Amino acid sequence: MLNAYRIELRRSPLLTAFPLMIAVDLVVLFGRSRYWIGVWPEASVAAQVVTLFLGPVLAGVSAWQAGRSSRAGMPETVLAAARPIWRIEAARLAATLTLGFLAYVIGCLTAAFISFGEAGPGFLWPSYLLLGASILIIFASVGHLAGRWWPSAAFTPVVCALGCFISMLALPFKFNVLAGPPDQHLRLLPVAVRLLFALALAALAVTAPPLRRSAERQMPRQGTPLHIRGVAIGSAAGSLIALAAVPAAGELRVERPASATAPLCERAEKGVPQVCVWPEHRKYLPELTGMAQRLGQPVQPWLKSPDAFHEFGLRRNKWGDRGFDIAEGHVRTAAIAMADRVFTESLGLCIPPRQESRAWQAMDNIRLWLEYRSAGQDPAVADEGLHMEGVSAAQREATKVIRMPAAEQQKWLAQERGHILRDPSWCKPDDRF
Amino acid sequence: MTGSDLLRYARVHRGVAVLVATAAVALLSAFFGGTHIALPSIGSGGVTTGVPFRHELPLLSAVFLTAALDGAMSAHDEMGASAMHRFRLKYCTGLTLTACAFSFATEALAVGPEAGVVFVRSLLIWFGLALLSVRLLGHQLGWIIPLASAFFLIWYPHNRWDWTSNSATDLFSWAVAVIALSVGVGATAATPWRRKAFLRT
Repeated sequence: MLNAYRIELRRSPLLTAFPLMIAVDLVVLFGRSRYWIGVWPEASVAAQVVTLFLGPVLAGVSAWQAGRSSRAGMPETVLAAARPIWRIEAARLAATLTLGFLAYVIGCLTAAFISFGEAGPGFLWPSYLLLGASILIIFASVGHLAGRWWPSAAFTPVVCALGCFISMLALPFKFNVLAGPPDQHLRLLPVAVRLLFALALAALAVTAPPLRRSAERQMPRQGTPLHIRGVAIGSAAGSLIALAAVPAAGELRVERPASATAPLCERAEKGVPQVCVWPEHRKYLPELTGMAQRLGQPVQPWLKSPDAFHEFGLRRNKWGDRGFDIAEGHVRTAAIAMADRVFTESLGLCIPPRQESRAWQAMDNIRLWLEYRSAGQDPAVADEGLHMEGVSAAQREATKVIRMPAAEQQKWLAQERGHILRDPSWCKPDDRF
Repeated sequence: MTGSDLLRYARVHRGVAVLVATAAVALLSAFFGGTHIALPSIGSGGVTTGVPFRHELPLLSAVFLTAALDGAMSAHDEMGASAMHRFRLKYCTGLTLTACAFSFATEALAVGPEAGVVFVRSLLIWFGLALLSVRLLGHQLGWIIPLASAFFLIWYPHNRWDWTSNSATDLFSWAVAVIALSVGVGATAATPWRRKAFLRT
């Protein structure tokens, strides 16, 4: 058995394709975005996304491999082999999976190695990696089964590769995740169900009886032994049950409780707001404390900052979460949330009547001015690459103002505040949070 | 060169299988092709902004068409006289045109002529790539280069060169189609004996 496995490993076409798989690894990891570097859950998800592309490769090659013996005119030899068929198939599938997982592990190690410098203590999250492993096993097993039953080199591999990829992405329930913000984590049960589905499929792919072809019908052959038949039926039933259990097991990703870990809090200097983030997001902390510091500097006595800014997920309550968010590595979303916090802290929750467009405009202006102030850069630099809609007037105004000397900015601020507070009943202190 | 000859040729060259498979792909695209798939490159909110998966389906038809070149007798066929090769050319052209016409018809009925044109254009581009792949990697590996190109389309979508999402009148994509198809046909025509003759002179 081990010998056969070694031979299959040596003769696997994946060995030739191995550099290609490493290239896929690297292109998927680094080709589009790099914000995952230095954030453990994001790095784990990035390593897991690789399996969506390694999977089709495995499915195609596995289908090709499984059909190879039938195409090469060997079915008689295989049927007459001294070993049961499932052992032959197991060695073949194991060889494919070994090489596929080797490429996957290399991708994971690359992601971990690159992240070590910035990410601080911790490691890749095993739940995401297990999800990736189950994707790889599913692709390889489906390919293997299809290749055994329909050993056509022209049709089966490409149908398996593209078909599995499309159906995996088109299914209403997900086998993969695409982003791993630290305020969410995977539930164990759905991951276990997916892994179970993958393993049952692998067992089925190995033990399923071969389809009889017309040419083979005349050949006398031994029937599949009873216990193997039992395993095949059991794994078929198991995979069906597991597939049905996947939607029943519920949402794959859930909110991570704030009690799961101690947040990382820091302030730039005494008297400025504190910033608290998930410990996984420590690489953004210097930038965020800088933003909080610029926002906390007193301009006018009525402009107040909160004591602390919390990241999304750290302070949930029944009205939601007003923490700041870091979207795909951009701290600009955090600046928007922080500016809003400062605005509500200073003026309260303002809802002027709809026809008071000047008051609404003033609110937009002040918010954007606060954003630019927190960014500490020229607005042209801060807005680069952003697509903001509906606020172009405020954007122009705030850009103009932030470039003016401090005294004129103060005058402008007081004037805008006057527009909002023309009727004091518009703004009420926000006591929800 | 009669019709019955062509039928007999088609019988041993997977004519039925190729036609049935491409028709199945076209019908699949017509009935379910509008389902959006969230490409891994679009991000976590990609479920609503994903692409309909009919964009990727012509790849299957294109690879199926190259199956007509292969068969139990393909090595024998290569030894055939020039009449045989002309016959093969006619057969493959006819098969491709039939598949294109059927795909266009179903897409045009299901979505609109615009989608039909895009489908056929993608089919022709991938057919060219599949032919190239057949020449470089062998008859049974016609799917390698098309799948590799699909990886780039999926991982870097909505680019200038993304021929699956460009409009039907996009000249650049048509240029890509012409180039890919001519490279593919050129690769198919570059048989070992022609290459040898070409290198000798």
